[in-house]
Amino acid sequence: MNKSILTIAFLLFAGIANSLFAQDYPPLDEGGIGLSPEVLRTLTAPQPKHNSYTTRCKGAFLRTKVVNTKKSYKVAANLTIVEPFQQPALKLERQEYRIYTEVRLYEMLLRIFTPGEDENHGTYDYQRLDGEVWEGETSERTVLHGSSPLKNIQVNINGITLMTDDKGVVLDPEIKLDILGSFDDLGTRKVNFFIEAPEMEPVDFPMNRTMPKRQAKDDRGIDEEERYELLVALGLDFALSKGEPEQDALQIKAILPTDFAYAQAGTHFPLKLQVKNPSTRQTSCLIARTFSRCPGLNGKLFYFGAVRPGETKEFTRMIVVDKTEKSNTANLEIRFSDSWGILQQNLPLTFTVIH
Amino acid sequence: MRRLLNAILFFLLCGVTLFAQSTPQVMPSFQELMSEFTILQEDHTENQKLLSTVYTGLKELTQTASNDAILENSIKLYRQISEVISAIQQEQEQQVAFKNTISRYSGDRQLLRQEQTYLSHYLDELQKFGREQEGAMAYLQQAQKQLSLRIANMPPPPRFTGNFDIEFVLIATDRNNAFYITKEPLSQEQIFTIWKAMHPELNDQELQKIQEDFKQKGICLYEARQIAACMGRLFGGFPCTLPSEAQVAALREYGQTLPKAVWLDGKQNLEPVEKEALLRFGMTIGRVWDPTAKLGAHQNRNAVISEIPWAKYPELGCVLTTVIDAGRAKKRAIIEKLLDETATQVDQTDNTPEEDAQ
Repeated sequence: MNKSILTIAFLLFAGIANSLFAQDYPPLDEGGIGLSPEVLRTLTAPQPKHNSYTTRCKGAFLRTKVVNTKKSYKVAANLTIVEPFQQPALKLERQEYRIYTEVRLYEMLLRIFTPGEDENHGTYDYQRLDGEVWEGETSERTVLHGSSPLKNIQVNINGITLMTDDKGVVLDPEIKLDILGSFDDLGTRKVNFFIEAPEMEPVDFPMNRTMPKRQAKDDRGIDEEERYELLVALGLDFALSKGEPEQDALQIKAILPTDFAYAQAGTHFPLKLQVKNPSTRQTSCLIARTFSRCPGLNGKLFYFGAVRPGETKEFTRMIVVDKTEKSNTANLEIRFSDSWGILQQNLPLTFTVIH
Repeated sequence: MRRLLNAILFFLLCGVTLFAQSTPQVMPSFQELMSEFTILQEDHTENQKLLSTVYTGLKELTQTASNDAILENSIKLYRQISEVISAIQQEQEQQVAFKNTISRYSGDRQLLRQEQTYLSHYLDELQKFGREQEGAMAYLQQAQKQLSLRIANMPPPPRFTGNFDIEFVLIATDRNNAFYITKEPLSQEQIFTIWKAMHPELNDQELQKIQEDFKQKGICLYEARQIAACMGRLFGGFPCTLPSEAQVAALREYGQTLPKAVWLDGKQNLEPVEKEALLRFGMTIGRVWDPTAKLGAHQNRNAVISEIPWAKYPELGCVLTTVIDAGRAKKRAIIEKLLDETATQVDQTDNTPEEDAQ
């Protein structure tokens, strides 16, 4: 009996002493700087007093590793000018993109903790483990791999189906897309062309018509890039001139094809306007417009911009007498305007119409 | 006729009296005064009869059913009233002259008692006549005013034919929105005839060329406007114009039978985009109404489209509009002419048996 009581007392004393003098281990950290599950387990396991222990952790960045590669194809568009009438057109390219999924690799380090005399203090040593790497975060990188003309393919632009030629230029023989026509409303400054091609990501091409030309700025928005500017593509200067032009001196002429005898209703034909500037001052943002009852002849804008002294400029539009026209004649009048006002010159035209 | 003779006789007597006064005056005798008064009395009675005819006529006018008959009777009454007013004024002048004669007669001599009685009776009667005349004049002038208004507000005739045999028909959607329009677009012959009347200085060769031009090509807006202006002048001041866009809504039924597109004029109902373009380029535009799509298909619901003002097409012509007063005036002119012709015929056969005997 007395022995039992002594044994129990001794055990109790030992337990109380243990709880009073036990070390406080640091709280378990599931995150932080690279504590792996092994390290966590070693922390919770009973530790032999005065023995060192090790954990693995991340070291310096080594390199990236491509773990996956995907391919994608996109349509890219640019403005171009096509003959024979110097009309703007879209030139399409097939661009191949490679999408690389990469992971960042770091050195694998072994961290050795050696406790000191006092269990609360110790030293850390790091040892690089060759042959082992720490895998970090992943990312994707897209790279243009190459491009080629999107040739002889059917594309859909703003809902209109058209074909491209050998050079990727969108052909529009029936003037369905009518890029110039999209800007015939004087208030329209921007038109978006949504381009779709088979098995490729579609793309938006935002085309601008800026009259007069904006002042040059260091920081330009995407909508001010020249590759989207119609008048730049046409090679026209629409900067405002400081000096007043001699409007009355301009010589203006309308030119039809040499073999033109009549207008076939429903068939487009080219109307070229020629402006010659014999004066000593250049014109400023010169444009012309047609007025007619026929919708296919009405409202066509012709762009000349700055016509320098002695220079002659021409601009062509494709016009049509509508199939629904019943009369045997079609009339139109062309009027001119620049940044200084209305020109007195005008061109009345009358065509014979064949149905 | 009798009254006319009486009036001539009286004025001769007055003339003689005046002559007699100025040179040495010949005083009428008392017998002559009595005769004069009798004439005045008869004239007054005659005018009273005419007045009662006018009363009856005005009363019957309100009971007349037909608009045409009302218009005709109104014009007749108006003329009658004018005649009665004229007769009363004449009567008043005669009475004034007679009063002067009595004054001179009384001033020149010692009147007999009987003469005094007669003369005083005459003066009383003249006063009575004067009051009756005043009342009659006021009534007649008021009646004339009302008749004028009635004639001016008569329902316009459904159609009438103007100069150059151009027929106009009435378009009336409501009381406040009525006008006349030519039944059809003007023919080439009509256009040429009007143009010829407008330009008497042109020689035959030039006219032939113009006629050919109208025939082959049609008419532009500027020419249509000139023709409308010319017709307006010929209508005696009533404006004659091309139809306006605002009138197109009222012309829907009419438009379905139009064999051509026609020029419009007046205020234009343009889209903002078009307005801006016209302003920017200093362009003027004309408007055409093409309800039967003679020029070509179009999207406009009201069939009004823009056209260059100098453009010409054989399928494009012009119609003219005028105000409802033009129709009323035309109708009135026709009735007055008929009444004049009837009056002339009556005058020519208007000899009483006594006058024939004389």
